[in-house]
Amino acid sequence: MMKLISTDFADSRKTIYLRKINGISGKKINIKKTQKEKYMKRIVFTGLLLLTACGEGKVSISELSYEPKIVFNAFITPGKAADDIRIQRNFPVGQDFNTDAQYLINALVTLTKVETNETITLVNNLNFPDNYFYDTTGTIIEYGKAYRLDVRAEIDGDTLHASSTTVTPNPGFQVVPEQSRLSPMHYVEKDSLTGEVKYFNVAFQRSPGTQFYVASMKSLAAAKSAFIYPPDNPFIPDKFDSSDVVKNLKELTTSSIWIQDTPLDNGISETVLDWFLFSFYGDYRLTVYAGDQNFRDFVETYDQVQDIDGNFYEPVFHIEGDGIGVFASYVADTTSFSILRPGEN
Amino acid sequence: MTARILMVLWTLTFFTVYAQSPPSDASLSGFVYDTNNGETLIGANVFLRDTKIGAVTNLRGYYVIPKIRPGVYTLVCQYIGYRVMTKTVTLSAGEEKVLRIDMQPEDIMGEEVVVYADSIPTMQKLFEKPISKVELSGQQINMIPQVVEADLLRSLQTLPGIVPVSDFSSALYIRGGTPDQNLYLIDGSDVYNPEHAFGLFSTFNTDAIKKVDLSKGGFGAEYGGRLSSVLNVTHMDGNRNEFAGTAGISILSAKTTLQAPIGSIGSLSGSFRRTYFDKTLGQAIDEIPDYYFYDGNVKAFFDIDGRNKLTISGYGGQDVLNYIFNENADNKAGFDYTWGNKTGSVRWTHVFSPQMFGDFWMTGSTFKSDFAFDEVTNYSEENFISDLTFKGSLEYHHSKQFITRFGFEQKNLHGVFLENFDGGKVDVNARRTHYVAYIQENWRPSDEWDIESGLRFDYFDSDRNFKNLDPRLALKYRLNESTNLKASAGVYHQYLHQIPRAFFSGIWTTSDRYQKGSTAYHFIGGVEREVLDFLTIELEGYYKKYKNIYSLNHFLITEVRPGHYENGLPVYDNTDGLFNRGDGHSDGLEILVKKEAGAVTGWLGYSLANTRYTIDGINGDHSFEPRHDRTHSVNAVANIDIRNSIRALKGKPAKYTNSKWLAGLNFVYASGQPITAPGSTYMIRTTPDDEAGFAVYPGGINEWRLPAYARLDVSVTYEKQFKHWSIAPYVQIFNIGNRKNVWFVQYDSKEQGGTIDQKVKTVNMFPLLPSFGVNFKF
Repeated sequence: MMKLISTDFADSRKTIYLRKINGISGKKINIKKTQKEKYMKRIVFTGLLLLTACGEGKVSISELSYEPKIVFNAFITPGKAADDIRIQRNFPVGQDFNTDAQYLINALVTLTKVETNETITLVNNLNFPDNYFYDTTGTIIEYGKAYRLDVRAEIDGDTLHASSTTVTPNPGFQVVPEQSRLSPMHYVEKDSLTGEVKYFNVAFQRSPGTQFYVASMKSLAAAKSAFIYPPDNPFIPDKFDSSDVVKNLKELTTSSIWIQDTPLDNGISETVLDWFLFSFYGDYRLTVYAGDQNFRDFVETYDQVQDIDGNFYEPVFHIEGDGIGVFASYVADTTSFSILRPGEN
Repeated sequence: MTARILMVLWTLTFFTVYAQSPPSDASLSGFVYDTNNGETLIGANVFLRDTKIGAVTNLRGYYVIPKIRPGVYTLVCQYIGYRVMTKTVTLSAGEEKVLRIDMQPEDIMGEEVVVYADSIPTMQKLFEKPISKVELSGQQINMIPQVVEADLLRSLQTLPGIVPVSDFSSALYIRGGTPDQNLYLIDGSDVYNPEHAFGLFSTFNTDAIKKVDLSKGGFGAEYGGRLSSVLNVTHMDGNRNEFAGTAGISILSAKTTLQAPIGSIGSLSGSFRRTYFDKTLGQAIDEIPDYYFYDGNVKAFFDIDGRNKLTISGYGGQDVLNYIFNENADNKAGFDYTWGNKTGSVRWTHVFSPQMFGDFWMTGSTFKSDFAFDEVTNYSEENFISDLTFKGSLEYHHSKQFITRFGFEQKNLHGVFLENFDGGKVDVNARRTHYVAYIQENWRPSDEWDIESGLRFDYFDSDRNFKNLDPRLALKYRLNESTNLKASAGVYHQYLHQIPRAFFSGIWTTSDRYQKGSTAYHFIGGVEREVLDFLTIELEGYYKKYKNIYSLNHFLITEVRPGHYENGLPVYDNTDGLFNRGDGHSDGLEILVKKEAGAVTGWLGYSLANTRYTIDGINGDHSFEPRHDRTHSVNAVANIDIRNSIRALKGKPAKYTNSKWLAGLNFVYASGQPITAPGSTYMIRTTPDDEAGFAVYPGGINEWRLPAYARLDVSVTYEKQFKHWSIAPYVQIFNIGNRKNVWFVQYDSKEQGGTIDQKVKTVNMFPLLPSFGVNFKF
C-alpha cells in the first residue's frame, strides 16, 4: 500500500530512504560521511557549473575555408567602348592585402557578342596602376544585345575560369530636367505655405524593357567643413564630430537609391531623394542608371549578405564558374543639384 | 505512405472500440477545486483505492470514472502541493454520482512537508501525461532566474528539446522546428506574435498563469494548424472565496494580479504590468530609447450550476517605441513603432451527462503593428492579422476503457500588410477560412495499455483550397510499477507561414496559389521511470520529417514583381517570391531527470539533436543545418530552500517557519550554433562611378560553428510571511560568470597606405546582468 515518507529530511525517514536504496537488510551506512560527501558533491557540482559559465567563446577565423575567386568588377554601356572591365581577386578573411595586389593584370579576358559569336580580347590598360582595367578600342557596345565576358586567370597557382552574360538596355532612357525638382534647396527645407518638408526629385524617361533604375548621388564638396552637423542634421547624434566625418568620408560622399520596379514601357518615372541620403552642403552630381538584371541583383544583394543576427546569405551574382562580383550593362544620364547652407540663397 | 499506415491503425482502433463496448454500471464524476481560492485543479489524480480505476481532471478540472461496479470504495484524490483527500463513496447499480472534491493546499509554512512517495500515483500521473508533454505552473516558472523578469518562454527554453536562437530572443525552437510552427493559445485564443521588447520577453504575465501545457510533438487530433508544438496557457479563474492579489516591482516593471469572488457564483481575476525603464534609466542614458510595454488580462468565471460554467477572458498588450535620432535637432527625425496582441474568448462548459462533457468557444485574436518614420521620411507600415473562431470540443466516456473526444472549429482569418514608401507600396489583404473536424478514440484494453487514435480533417479555404486528413496515434504501456513506455506518430499540416524579422514582429501569410500547406510527420518513442522514490526520468527519441516548409527568401527584393501599378508606381499585392520552399528532417534524443519534492527541486535535461533543411535555391540545393540547430544541450534548473537544504545535509528534519531563503539556479550549456562564415573578402564598386569598397563573400551555408554557449543564472529570494500578507525581495544575476557568448562575428576593413587592414570582431550576447525587485502577496 501507499506509504507516506519524506524524501530526505528526517533522520528516521532518511534511514528508510537509505535502506530502500540499499536493500532492506542494507549495509551499515555512515550517515555523517555520506552527508559530507553530499556537501562536497554539491559544492563541486556548483563550482563546475560556474567554471563552465565563465570565460569566453573563442572564434578562430583561421578555420574558415578560403576559396580563390576571380572578382568581376565590370560594366559596359551601349554606344561606348568596353573600357571599364576590372578583373580582380579575392582574399582570405582576416588577411591584410595591398590594393594593387587585387588586380589580375595577366588574365585572359574576352568579350563575346552572343548574337554573332564575335569575340574580342580585352587588353590590360597599364596606364592606371591604381585602377587597372581591361579595355578595347574600335568595338562599340550596342543597345539591346547580349554580351558574354570570359576570364581565365591564375590565382595562388590555380587556373580559374569564370564567365557572365549581360543584356544591354534599349535606347530611350534620359533624365527629364523639366519634370524634376533639382533647383537649389536648403537642407530639409519646408514649404513656406504648407509647412511640409520639400524634397529633391528626379524624373526620367524609361528605357523600354528595363525595370531597374538606380540614382547615385555624389557630393562634389565632401569635406569636414561642408558636413551638415547637428542640430541641422536630424539623422545623426550630437557626438558625431568632424573626426568622424574624416574617418567615414568615403562612405558619406556617395549614396544611392533604388527606384523600385518601374513599368516596362517607355513612360516617365520619378523618385524622391530623401534627405537622409545627403551629408554635405554644396554641389552634388546625380547619375541615374538604367541597368540590366545583373546590375539589379548585384546592387540589391552584394552588401546585404550579413543579416542583423550576423548570419550570411548568398548574394545573387550572375557569374558561372570560379567568379564573383558583377558584369553588368547600363545606360546613365547625369545631372546636378545643390544643397544650400543656412542663410545662403 | 506514412499517412496511409497511420490511417489503417486508426481505423483498426476505432472499430475495435465500438466492437467492445462494455455494459453500464455506476459512474462518478465532478470537478476538483482548491479550497483556498475555489480554482479548479487541472491534472489532479482521482482514483478508487485498491482498484487502479481512476481518472485525471481535464483542463476544466473535471473528472469522470464511468462503469464502476456497485459497491463501497475509498475515493482518493491527489495533487502535488495539496493534502491527499480520501472519502468513502457508496455506489449503487446505475447510479451517476456527481461528487465535488475540495483539495486543501499543504500549509508549508506551518508544518513539515509530507511528500506522497508511493510510486503508483507518481507513475499514474506520468502515465496519464501524453508523450512529449510538459506541464508547468505559474509558481514553477517564477522560480527560474531569468533576464530581469520571470518569463514563460524563457523558462521553457530550459527544457530539453527547446532552444533559443540567442539571448535576445524568447522565441522557441522546438525539436528543430521554427517559432512559427508553434501554436500559442491563451484561454483558447490563438496568439500570433507572443513577444514583447523585440523578442526579449514574451507576452505572458507569469503571475496570471494557472497552468501551462506544452506539447513538444506527437500531439493528438484536437490540436493542429502547426507543425511542431502546442503551448496552451490557462489563466487563473480567480479566487472564489476572498479578495486576494499579488504585486511586484523590479528595475524593469511593476505588476499586479488581483482576484475576487463574484458573489457565490463566480470569480474575477485581472492582472496588469507596465515597464518603466523609459522613465528611470531612459532619463539618464541617452542611448536608451523611449520604449515601454504594458499588458493585462481580465477573466470572469461563472459557476452557473453543477452542469454549466461560463468563462469570459480577455488579454491585451502593447509595445510602444518612439525613437528620435537626435533630440536636439531642428527638425526631429525618427520613428514610431507600436505593436501588440489582443485576444478574447467566451467559453461555455457544459456537462451533458456524467459521461459527456463539452466546451464551446467563441474566440478572437488580433495582432497589429504600426511603424512610421517622422515627417522627414515618407515610410509607413501596417502589419495586421486577426481571427474570429468558433469551436467546440466534447468528450464522451463510454466506459473506463473508452473515451471518445471529438470537435470542430471554424477560424476566419484576416491578414493585412500595408507598406507605403516613395516609390510604391506593398498592399496584401487576404481573408481565409479554416474548417476543422476531429475525432479521437481513447482505448484502455487493460491497466497496462492506453491507445489513442485520432483523425483530424482540415479544409483551408484560400485562393486555392487545401484538404487534408491527418491521422494520429499514441500508445502507452505500463511495463511495471515504475516504468512506462510510450510512442506516438502523426501527420500535421500548417497553412500559415511567417516572415521572421529580427527585432521586428513577424509577418504572417497563408497558404495560397504560391505556397502550399506545410506537412510534418512525427515519430516519437519514450520511456519514463521513477527511481529512488523522488526522481523521475523521461527519455524520448524522435524523428520528424518536413515537407514544403518555407524559408524567407532573404533576397526576395530581386524576385518579387508588382501585381499592378497605381499612378505609375508598383503595387506588390501577392506573396509570389516571398519564400523558398524546402524539405527537412529533425531527429534527436532527450533525457529529463526531474525532482519535484523536497528542499531541492528542479530538473536536469540533456538533448542530442540534429536538424537539416534542404531549401530550393539555397546552398546549391544541398542540405544544411539551420541556425537554431544545437547538437548537444544541457540544462540544469534548481530551486533550493536554503535552510532546509542545509538541514537535510546535516541530517536534520525540515523545519518551516514564517520566513525562508530560496535560491534559484539555471545553468545551460549548448554546443555552438551553425553559422555561415565569409569565405573571402574583396573590393568592389556599387555603381560605375563609385569608389571600390570592402565586401565579404560567404562560404557554404551554416558550415561553420560558433563556440559553445554556456551560462549560469542565480537568484536569491527572502520570503517573509505575515498574518495576511507576505513579502519577497529578490536579487537575480543573469550570466553570473560573465561569460562572453558569441552572438555573431563582424568583418570590417580599413585602408591605410594602400593596404587593406581587415578587422574581425565578435559580437557577444548578454554580459552579467544583475537585477532586483520585490513581490508581495495579500
